[in-house]
Amino acid sequence: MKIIALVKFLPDVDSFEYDHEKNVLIRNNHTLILNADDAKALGFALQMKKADPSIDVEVVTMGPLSVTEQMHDLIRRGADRGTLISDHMFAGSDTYVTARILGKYIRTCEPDLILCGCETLDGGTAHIPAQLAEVLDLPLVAGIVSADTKSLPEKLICQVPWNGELLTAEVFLPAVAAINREGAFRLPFVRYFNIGKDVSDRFRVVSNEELGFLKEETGLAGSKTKVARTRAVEPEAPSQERLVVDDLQEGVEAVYRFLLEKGVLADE
Amino acid sequence: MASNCFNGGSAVVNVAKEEMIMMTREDVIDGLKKMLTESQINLDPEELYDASADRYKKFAMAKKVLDTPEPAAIVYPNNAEEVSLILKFCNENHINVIARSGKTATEGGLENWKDLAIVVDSSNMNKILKIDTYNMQATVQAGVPLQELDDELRKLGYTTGHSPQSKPVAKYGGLVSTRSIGQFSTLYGGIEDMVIGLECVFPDGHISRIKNVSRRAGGPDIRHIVIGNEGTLCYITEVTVKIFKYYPDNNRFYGYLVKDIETGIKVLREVVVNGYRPSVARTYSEEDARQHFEHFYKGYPVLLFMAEGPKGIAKATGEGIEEAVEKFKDGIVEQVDSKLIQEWFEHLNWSQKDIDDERQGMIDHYRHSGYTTEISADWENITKIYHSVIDRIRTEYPRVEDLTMLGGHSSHSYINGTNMYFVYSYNINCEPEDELMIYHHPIQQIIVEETLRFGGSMCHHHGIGKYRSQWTKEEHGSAYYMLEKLKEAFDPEGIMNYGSIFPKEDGIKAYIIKEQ
Repeated sequence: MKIIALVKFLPDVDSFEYDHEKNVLIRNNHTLILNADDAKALGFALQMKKADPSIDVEVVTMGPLSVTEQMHDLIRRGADRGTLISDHMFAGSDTYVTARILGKYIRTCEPDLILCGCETLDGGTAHIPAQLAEVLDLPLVAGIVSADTKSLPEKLICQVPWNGELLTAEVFLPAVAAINREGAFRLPFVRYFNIGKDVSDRFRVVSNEELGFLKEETGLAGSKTKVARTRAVEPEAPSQERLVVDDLQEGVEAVYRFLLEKGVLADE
Repeated sequence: MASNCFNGGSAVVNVAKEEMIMMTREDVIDGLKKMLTESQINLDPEELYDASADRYKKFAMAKKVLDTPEPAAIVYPNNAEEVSLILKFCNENHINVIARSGKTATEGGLENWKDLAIVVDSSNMNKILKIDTYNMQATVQAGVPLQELDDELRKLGYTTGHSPQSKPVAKYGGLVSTRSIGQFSTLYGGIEDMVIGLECVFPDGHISRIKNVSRRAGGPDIRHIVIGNEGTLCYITEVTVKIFKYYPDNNRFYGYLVKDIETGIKVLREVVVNGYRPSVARTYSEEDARQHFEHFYKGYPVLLFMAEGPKGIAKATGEGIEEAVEKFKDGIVEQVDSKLIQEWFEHLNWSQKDIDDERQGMIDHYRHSGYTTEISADWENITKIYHSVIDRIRTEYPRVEDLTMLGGHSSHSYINGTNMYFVYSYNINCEPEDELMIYHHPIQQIIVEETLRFGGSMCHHHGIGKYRSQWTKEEHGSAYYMLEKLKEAFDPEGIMNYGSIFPKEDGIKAYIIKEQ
């Protein structure tokens, strides 16, 4: 069985930069972090591989060459190989173009299951899973929080929150499965013996030379959506309140009420 | 021979090399059933998992990823004669024996490295045999909890004088076999100063009794073959210890904030070399002080004492402390209210609930842990070791950013030196199987290396256990010869706690450095 885990590296909030003229994120030369939903998706893939080592897991991302070391790190965590789709022509691509680029590469791999996060922290559109499924003409199940793998590789049985309930969904493979940030999966750490291990022979960069898109099909030129306007939002400072009491009992009660209000303690 | 014969849970039954018969776990259990009742043999899977390691691998144990083999059974002999039968059976069939009592081991002493092993637990040998207030001694079986004996003595106005933090849980067999020490050691001494006589059983089944006398010069003091053997030479079944009069009403407490740890150590030295014996005499680094005394430490190291004993001695000891403090007054920031020290003193020990809570916390909340490593050295070198260790960890240790605490304290002082208890805790950013290799081992290695470099002892009171066995030869130097000969003489088949104290390359590779 072959699984592709799609991941995206996002600008760290502490080093966030935006090109306000082009309305795109500046990704090169800045710290990038792994998107939380995608970490869960790769965690699920590696959990399956741990249970069945014959499963092949390829982690795939699209982005700048500067994420190479982070991709190496994901291989050290247990992925069989890593692929970075990177080309200056792809810079500024919207989700529609991104899905087409990813889809073209993934089709060559013939995976049984494509796992990805539901959405990214930077965009939050949740377009990619659906658009990718459309491009690949595969079924999609999104919002997975837990899964039962006993029916693999025929189908995936998974739980998805829906209107306050937890639905069990079954999807025949091959399929695209999008994992919710709250999913019960954990990205494993790099094991002791893999720390610093050279995994470059299991990593490759795929450029447009292999994928063969026309210039007008990718980047800003090929994108169907445009960012109309951006504005910086200052985070609200957390509110603070200082309460000084003379009586100890009064103080204890004030703290108790506060904890009740915040839901830390349950009311009798 | 033993290590070559084991294969996938089977082992050799007969000592005759040409007639090797493979023994299975079932054979072991059948053999035990011929000697013991069913209630004395524990085969519960959870208990066997728990018995395959100790608190050294507490995080891996909590996360259910232990890789050490489970013993075939835990057995509970009722007396020395049954211990004799069990050891003889194991000796003849090359079954590893782990001696266990209070289960508070922190250095891998209860960890099993053999496919075929049993744990011999002292819980059924739980009687206080005699309290003799005229001759000032008490005799207990190995499974008697220290707390129980001390409670009985206190009713009579006496005390054991022994108070390790594990007092509510620890039992006499373990206390003696690990050369334990208590928090009042500067006055009462370590367990080696308290044991008068004992009974123990050797692998060939021989039962030895060392009689209870006030002193002896009948050759080398053979008590010390047993005290601290960590279950590698024999199994302790009975212990007789000194008891002391108890004067809690005379206790005096002293606390000071000091400029640096050097000042604290100098005051400790001054008090002890002048001939005073406070029961508690400690200096905490500012980092360690924050853990215990956050409400008053103000960012400084803390120096504290407790004077106890008859009124006159407690008073004189208190005056001796004050004189020493006065001599080093330039390094004293301020005196602390003695009530704060007394409050701390009254909440020193941890209980079984504390151990269980720590384990549950590890199960529920991935990921924080901490360890201590205790060493000793002379007065001249103790602070050199301290600073050298701290500097190396801060500059060399690759995961230093994960440390949430790094410091130490001196808590047991002697005429010629003191101990240093390095304390460190960290956020665990790795798989539970790798935690020790990524966090505890590299830190502990630095502590051991620096201690040995400055001529100190790498273990002050926890015992060597498994991990530090890598440095046993370096610890003892040319005297290792004597240790080795003891092992050859008393445990020629190597069935007693394989891998503890005496380094075993196969076990170190498999269960410590986990060579791939």
